[in-house]
Amino acid sequence: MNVAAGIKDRVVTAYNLEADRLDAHDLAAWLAWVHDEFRYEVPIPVTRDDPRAPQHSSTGFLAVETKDSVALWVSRLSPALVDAAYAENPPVRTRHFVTNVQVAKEQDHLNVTSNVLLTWGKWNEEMRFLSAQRQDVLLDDGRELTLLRRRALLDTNVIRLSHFRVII
Amino acid sequence: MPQTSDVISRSDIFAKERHTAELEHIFDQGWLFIGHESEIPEPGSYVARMMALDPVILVRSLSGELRVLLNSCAHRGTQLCRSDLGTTSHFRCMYHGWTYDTDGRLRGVPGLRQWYPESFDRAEHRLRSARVETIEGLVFATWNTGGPSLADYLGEFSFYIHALLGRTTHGWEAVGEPLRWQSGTNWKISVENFGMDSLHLGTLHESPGRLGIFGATDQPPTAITCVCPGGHGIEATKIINGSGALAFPGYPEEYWPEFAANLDEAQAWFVANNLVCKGNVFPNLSFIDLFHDYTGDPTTPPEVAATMLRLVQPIAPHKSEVWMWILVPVDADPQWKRWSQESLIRTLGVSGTFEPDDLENTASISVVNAASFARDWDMQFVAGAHLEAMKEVEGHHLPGEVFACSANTESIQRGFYAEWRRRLGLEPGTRSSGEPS
Repeated sequence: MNVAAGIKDRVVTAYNLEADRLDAHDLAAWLAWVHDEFRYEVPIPVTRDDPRAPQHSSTGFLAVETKDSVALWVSRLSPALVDAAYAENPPVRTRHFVTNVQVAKEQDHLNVTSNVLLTWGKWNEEMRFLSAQRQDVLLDDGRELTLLRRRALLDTNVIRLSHFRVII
Repeated sequence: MPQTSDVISRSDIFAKERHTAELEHIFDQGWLFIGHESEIPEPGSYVARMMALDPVILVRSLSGELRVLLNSCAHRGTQLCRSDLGTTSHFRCMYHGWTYDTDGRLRGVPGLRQWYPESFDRAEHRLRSARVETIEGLVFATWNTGGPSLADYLGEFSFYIHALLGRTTHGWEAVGEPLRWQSGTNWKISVENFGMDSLHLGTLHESPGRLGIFGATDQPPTAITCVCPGGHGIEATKIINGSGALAFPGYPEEYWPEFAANLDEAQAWFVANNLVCKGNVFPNLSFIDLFHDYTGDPTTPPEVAATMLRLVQPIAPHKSEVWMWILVPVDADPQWKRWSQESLIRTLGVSGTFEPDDLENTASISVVNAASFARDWDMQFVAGAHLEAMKEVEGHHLPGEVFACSANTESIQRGFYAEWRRRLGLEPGTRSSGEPS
């Protein structure tokens, strides 16, 4: 079911705030909009010889996270441990460009798809890029949106970033 | 002072001429890992793979044989298979329609009677096919048709492969497709970092250690390192308990008697009571068997074991591609399989708590040593060079040169690079410049 413009505006606003937090590496703040039963999956892209077949794996994943496992990332980036977080320190400069947000209202949640272009700049290296479709499930209590599930469908089957410790 | 066998020139690691020689003398001659049998369960199942830079198709033919076929039409060289996996009865070239069966035989040539001479014999135009052999479900292939068998290539290292993967009664299966990521370093650096080096655990991986993800133990571990002829090596970090009881921490306890019963006494002792066991089959197939204490899922039991294979494909002197397979016992509970899979993705996968730091480290080695002054220097593999090889450990005879220490040292690296030098025809300690190192 299509949704009123007001709901879509709230989703877009939430995504903009989310991108700011992710690109500021403020995972602690980002966790604030994540549901306790949050699940994040990045299925492995699979190229098949039938364009009608699913182009992403149903059993293999490049990333699988929960709210608790992302909390480990937050601890890793805490002042006590960040000196040993060599992949994230010095930090990678990222930007999440989120477009084509489509919102469909179900009985008790919102199904939201969007496109993401992630830019990745590290020290003096050449910029790298990764694009994906997000498939999100959001909960809406009328005041606040909460991220319950996210599947990020990558457009390449080989990660060419310097690592993949990032939320798409 | 380091001995010549304990150092290797950095220019040898990264030199273009060495890379070219490696492709010819190591990757075109040796047995290379292609995939796991469970990935191609039915006749006609196939997966696209690489043998170094050569694309190949691993297929279970309709006649039931495992085949590794060069993914290139015998006519003009077009890629035949342009997908990661699937099931098929044939491979048909998109260019002129030459069609091959799953054994690589040329079956169909459009216009055969009108456009080709009578002397054209389809039997002379089959796909190039590599030799294929397996061990414990691992499929290896080689272009070297006249070389040693896989059993001879592995030699006494087979003992350890049987120990790790022969534990289960019903075998192992790969969960999902391989994870793939590129690394800005030489393949040898990546292989050595993952499959051999353990001394970096407390420094490079200080963070996951302090987060309680891995390595919590009240007792000091003993590290057993085994270096086998052919450049293969394995190391086990274990808690040796006085009772002699065999435990396989992280695996469901109902498996433990079965694991022990399926192995001989020395094999069972070697793979039991381990915090981690890892190694490398020369040149580029690494493996690890370990258990994690916590990976962020409070519903997961405190210890879940995990086994993975990690292949590093050489792409260029400063670029490689990692392929990661997650293996679980075929008959394990589906919930346990998921826990095991996710524990590896969250640690040793490209998004994990370990691998990103390894990628950062190995890329930095590559960046620095691309320059002429830095690479005119050595890498040192001295740790453990003072240790005496043991005839037996805890009453068990283990194949290869066996060392025991409070930590795994750099013995496997020395064996790896000795084999690497041998295959490239280099004397120990010889540098690209011809100077003694």
